[in-house]
Amino acid sequence: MKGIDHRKYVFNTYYKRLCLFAHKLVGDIDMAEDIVQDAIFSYFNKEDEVSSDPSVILQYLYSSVRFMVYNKYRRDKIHEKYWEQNPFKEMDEYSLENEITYVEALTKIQEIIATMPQACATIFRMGYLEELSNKEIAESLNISINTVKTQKQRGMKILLTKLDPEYLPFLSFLFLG
Amino acid sequence: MNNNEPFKTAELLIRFLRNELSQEEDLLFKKWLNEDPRNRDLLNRFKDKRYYYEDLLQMNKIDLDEAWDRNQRKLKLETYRSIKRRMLYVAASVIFVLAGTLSVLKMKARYDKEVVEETVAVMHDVEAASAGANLLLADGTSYSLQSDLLSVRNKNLYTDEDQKDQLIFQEKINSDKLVYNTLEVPKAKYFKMQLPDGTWVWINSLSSLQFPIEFVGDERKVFLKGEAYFEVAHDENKPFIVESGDTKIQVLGTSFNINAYSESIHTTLAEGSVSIDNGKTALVLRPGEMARSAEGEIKREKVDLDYVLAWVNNEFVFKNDNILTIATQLASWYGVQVKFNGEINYNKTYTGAISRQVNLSEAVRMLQFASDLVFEIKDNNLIIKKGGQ
Repeated sequence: MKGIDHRKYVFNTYYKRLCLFAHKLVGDIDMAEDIVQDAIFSYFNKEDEVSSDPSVILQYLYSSVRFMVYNKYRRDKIHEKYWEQNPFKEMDEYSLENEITYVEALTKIQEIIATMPQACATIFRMGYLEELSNKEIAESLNISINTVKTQKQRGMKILLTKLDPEYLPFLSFLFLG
Repeated sequence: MNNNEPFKTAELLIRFLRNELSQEEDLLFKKWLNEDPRNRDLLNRFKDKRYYYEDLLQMNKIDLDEAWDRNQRKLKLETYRSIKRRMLYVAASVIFVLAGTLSVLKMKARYDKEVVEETVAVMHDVEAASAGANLLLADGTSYSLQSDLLSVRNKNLYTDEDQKDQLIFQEKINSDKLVYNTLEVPKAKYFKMQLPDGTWVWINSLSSLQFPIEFVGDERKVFLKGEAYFEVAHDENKPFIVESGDTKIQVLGTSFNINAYSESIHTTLAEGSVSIDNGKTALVLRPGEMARSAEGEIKREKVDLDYVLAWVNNEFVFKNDNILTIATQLASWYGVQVKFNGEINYNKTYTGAISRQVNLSEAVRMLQFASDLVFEIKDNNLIIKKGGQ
């Protein structure tokens, strides 16, 4: 037993990204969450047999999500109808690894957003996740438009210092706008 | 899985997006990009708002707390079932850990047909405590706060209504004097605040905290009645001191709980180190230890942190507690009066956990399930009687 703190840490660190990964495989977020719950649960039952190196744990969890998706696909006769509507893409090794690469990169972007100071993150979130204009943000927080702009720029500096405007277009739009 | 490959590639990808690749990494990245057309497709996902942006939103939408609760409920259920299999029922202490929420009870009922539907007589149900406090400022003004958060920054006081900072007080005169304000958390309320140095404080019901708008001088001092949990921001040059009665608790940067509801003041250390001084005796605590300070004496003992910090985690955790202790906690959280009716065995103890977010009727339904007591909720009274078995 590594204790509840370790478990919570593992859960909080890996749950969301594993859900996105499973979502890419099964095409349904609720089913993805069920699979990830099972995968993490079975890891908790075996945690003493798995090295405590975080990268090993993460690889173990990705593998076990994959394994559970395959199992579900092959055995789940009850859901046959479901699978007819949502064809499971039996991916080759290479494509699967690419999905992991994608999910890991997206997680890093997410983590960078999370390191922003609170005021900055609030404004950034309103602009970027809720798509509010600078004027709307300024009004709802009762601050000046210039403050909104400065905070957004601070946020972008933290996120992507010298971003190529071709990538992450919506984020760079915020940076310039 | 080809070991670390996807993780390394993700690292390169992010560095590429941030334009931070070294020459060497640039070559590696280009090599990867040209290795397979699918790799270029992958990179192009970051050009397409509909793609990466939708996925970011998707990730944001996942409710991590809910998911964790689900995991813990499953764990508790499994534990319960394995205990049951081994017939480890001890007559004196009834285990009701298993009933984290009502939904678990329902699940359990499905698994164990012998579970009889429990009924609790409810006249008017009582909701769990909500966020709120009264703020009394040194200048005499007072506010009733319904939000769950108060923060002090740059001599301003903000509340967090609807997750938006709202300025409620701004110190106009630039005084260097230490002026104290009081935050009172009444019955059936809880509150969280951030002090001017960045320290977080969770304040339990029936408690009050006195704090300044700014920590002037060479120490950070607050006064506490009742119970609070502190996560102290580190500042080597300015020790943080909590005064409660005769007891002074001094720290540099750490997490600890103080329970000062009674004359005996209990300080429990979660992380770091604290020193406790009541004018006659002093000692330094280690993580996982609790000090009881009363009548000039300080005693040290080992404790279960989950048990002491249960209220911070929004749970009732009972560990060999009798019905009096349990009822006292229910009374202050739900704001009800407890009445005992007839002969009650106060020696009998209970062990288990209940979420503090459920209504009173649900909480007592779980207790009723686990004990031989009968509960009744009527006009803000919780009546506890001996069961008929």
